[in-house]
Amino acid sequence: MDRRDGAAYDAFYTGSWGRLFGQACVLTGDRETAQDLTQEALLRAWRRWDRIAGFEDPEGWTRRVLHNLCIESWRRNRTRMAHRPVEAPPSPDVPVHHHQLAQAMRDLPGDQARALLLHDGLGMTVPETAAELAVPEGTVRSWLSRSRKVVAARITQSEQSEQPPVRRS
Amino acid sequence: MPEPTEEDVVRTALRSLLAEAAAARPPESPEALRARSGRRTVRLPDPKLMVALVAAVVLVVVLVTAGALHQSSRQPTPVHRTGGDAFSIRPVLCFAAPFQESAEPMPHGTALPPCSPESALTAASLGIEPGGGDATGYTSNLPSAPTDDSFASVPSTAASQVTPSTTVLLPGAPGSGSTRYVLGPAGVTGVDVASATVHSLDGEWTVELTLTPTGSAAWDTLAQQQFHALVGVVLHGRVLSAPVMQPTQSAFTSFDGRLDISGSFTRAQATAAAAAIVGSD
Repeated sequence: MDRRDGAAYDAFYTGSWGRLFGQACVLTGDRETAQDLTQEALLRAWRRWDRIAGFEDPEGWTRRVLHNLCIESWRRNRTRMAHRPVEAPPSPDVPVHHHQLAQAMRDLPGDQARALLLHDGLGMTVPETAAELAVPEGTVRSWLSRSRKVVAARITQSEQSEQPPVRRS
Repeated sequence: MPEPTEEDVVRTALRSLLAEAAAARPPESPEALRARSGRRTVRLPDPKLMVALVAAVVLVVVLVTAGALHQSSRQPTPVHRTGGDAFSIRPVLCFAAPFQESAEPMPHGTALPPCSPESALTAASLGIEPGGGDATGYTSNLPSAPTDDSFASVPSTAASQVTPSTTVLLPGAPGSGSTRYVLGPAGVTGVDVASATVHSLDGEWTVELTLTPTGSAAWDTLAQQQFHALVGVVLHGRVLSAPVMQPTQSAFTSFDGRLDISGSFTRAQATAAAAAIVGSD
């Protein structure tokens, strides 16, 4: 007998979809992949809904699954890129700076990208981020400062090449 | 105008992308997703995993059969085990300050002082509100919960002194930070656990416990008493995890004798924990 509460799941799905999809966009840089992985993570959540609905926090569980799926998808892409060193063109509906951001995130080690997304993107605290990634807080702090440098440089660089520099007096 | 810091630049970029994506619409309704969940595309896992799966299925069949035989015999439960004392689940009463080596330690064998009223962790003080809290699905006062500094002079309870009936003061898992926990008497112990299995839920190693009928009732009693407050999962004198009970729900529901412990384990740690919990270590 199916003891899963469909109505509770539907409310969870509707309430969390946009947030999860946004995180997948940040980590994959591709809306189509992001959408597929979001659906896959939510599907897994439904398959285990009887267990995850009651315990702790379903969106947190789904988020961890989704982030892992996103990072696995880079690894597959990286292997493919090794054979065919061509950067995928940005999808037309992703603004250029978003593409640069996602590209920079993909160049980071997976855990560092997740740390940056959780802390700077979702506004989680350092202890919360450390708990989610199962690493000490000091590690999170050093990852954040290192990966911010890389990502900020990438975004700033792309902004400068897009528009003539504006001097404020 | 001051230069934006790297943190500002990154935060603004991330949040703008997140905000823009949040306005997008899902490609299918939740009903449609649930409807297709029955139609799994089965991808055959690698042979090693298959062996593990078959072993797991055999184990489950053995356990279920043993359970059915046991049910039909209607005998009082004879528990044959060698240990399992290392494991308990307890209410978390308050967070305690790290032990200061320089402090004059309390004489050995002295009972723990109580948590101060300001630091007591209760459903009322934690103020859990289901819904909201973007990342977690609930809001609470947990991030600002105070630490009771009066415990700075109290050393942690030794693992060998952790008995079910006493209140204990314990550190977290290695690498989890310096916060310690004051925990009340055990609601669930190793004898309440019928089986412990190790799973990887998409890369996260989890110990799944199935409790005995008595254990299931004890766990529900503890979880309901601590609804919207914390329980601590204790193994070998350390708190492996301290989850809030059902923070995204507005009312308590039974755990039906099941319990997942996901405390940032590696596979080896999860396997060792599962063995220790049922007392076979």
